Amino acid sequence: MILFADHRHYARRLLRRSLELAVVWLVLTGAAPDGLLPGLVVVISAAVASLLLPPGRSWVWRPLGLLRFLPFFLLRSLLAGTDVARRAFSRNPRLAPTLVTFRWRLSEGPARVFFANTVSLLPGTLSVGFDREKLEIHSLDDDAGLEQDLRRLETRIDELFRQESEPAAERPGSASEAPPP
Amino acid sequence: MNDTTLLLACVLFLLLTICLGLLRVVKGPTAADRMLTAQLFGTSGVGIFLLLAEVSNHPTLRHIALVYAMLAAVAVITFVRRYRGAEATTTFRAAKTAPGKTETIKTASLNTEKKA
Amino acid sequence: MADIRHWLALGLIVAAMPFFLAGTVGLLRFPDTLTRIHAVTKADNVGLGLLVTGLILRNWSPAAGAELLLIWVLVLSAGATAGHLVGATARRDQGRPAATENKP
Repeated sequence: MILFADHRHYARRLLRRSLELAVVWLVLTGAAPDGLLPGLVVVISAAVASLLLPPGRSWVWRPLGLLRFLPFFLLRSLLAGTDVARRAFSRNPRLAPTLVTFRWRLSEGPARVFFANTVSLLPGTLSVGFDREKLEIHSLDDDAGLEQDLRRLETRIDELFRQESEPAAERPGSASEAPPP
Repeated sequence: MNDTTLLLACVLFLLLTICLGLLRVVKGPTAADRMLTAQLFGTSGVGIFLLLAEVSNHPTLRHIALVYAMLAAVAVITFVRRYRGAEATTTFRAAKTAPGKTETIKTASLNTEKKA
Repeated sequence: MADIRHWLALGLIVAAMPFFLAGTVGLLRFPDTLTRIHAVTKADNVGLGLLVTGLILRNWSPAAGAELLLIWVLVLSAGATAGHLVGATARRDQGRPAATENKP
């Protein structure tokens, strides 16, 4: 029965979303006892509201992917800050700004948004344009190793997201075959 | 020098960087440049609130920092929404505003200086 | 042990300051809007990251630490998103420099 399966699916998502929001509530209130009852109301209504909004597809983190991604990201973003600080203070910043077009291999959804945001925090790159086929990246140098770096980041992020309930319709690789505009 | 003075010195330092950032608001030249100062306000402001929370032992200031961080994000999104107006429909198709209103402002000051 | 933590925390907080300054200096010195965005998003986020780490070490309590981390993650994602949006606006505004195509 489709309806039944749909409801169960919805209930599971609601439960998970509520748990996530409950953690946030507990952190914010310092788990104060007199905040628990209003918290229950807020958490459940916020969870319902968030599920009513698009996008309908739901994604989850992969713990192992996160474990591998986090140190990589922290180190690289620290490097990014140091790099930009060095340029800001140096007498001659030697900037060679270029725009690079990056064609998506990641499947559509949060993974792409996450990629675009991460790119902006890594050394020398900033995402400045976003559509279904490509991401436009502004780079501080015209560095030849950039493409390789970006592809490595792409695999890291692909490991990070797991699409829930729907079998992967669009695996990485198939997206890149879209014809150029 | 004890901890409190050091932390307060850091607060002053952050205030100073914000004030320096205001020069970019004066110079512009584009609205996007000016908006960047607002973004700078956001992060440095959060830093200031967090340090003050530490110095004064008031955890409430941390909540303020959190709200401040969110408001800074909302401010930037509002800016982009207004200036890009109807052309930004791919990114913000869901949001609804009167299109006529955004259009007029968009052309007013963003194109004050065009760079090749 | 508590002593080392205490000094490490202070060190991290002080170490954060140059990054905040770098964000401002970059904002003032870099030649165009897009490069300025680089300075503001990256340097300030690292500055706040160090500051938050220092404060977590100083407080050393799970509740305060969790909230500080939450704030940092929020600022991080908000900063990246804001940078992207302002960047897209500025890029449209600057005209189109020749984009170097790179193939997958």
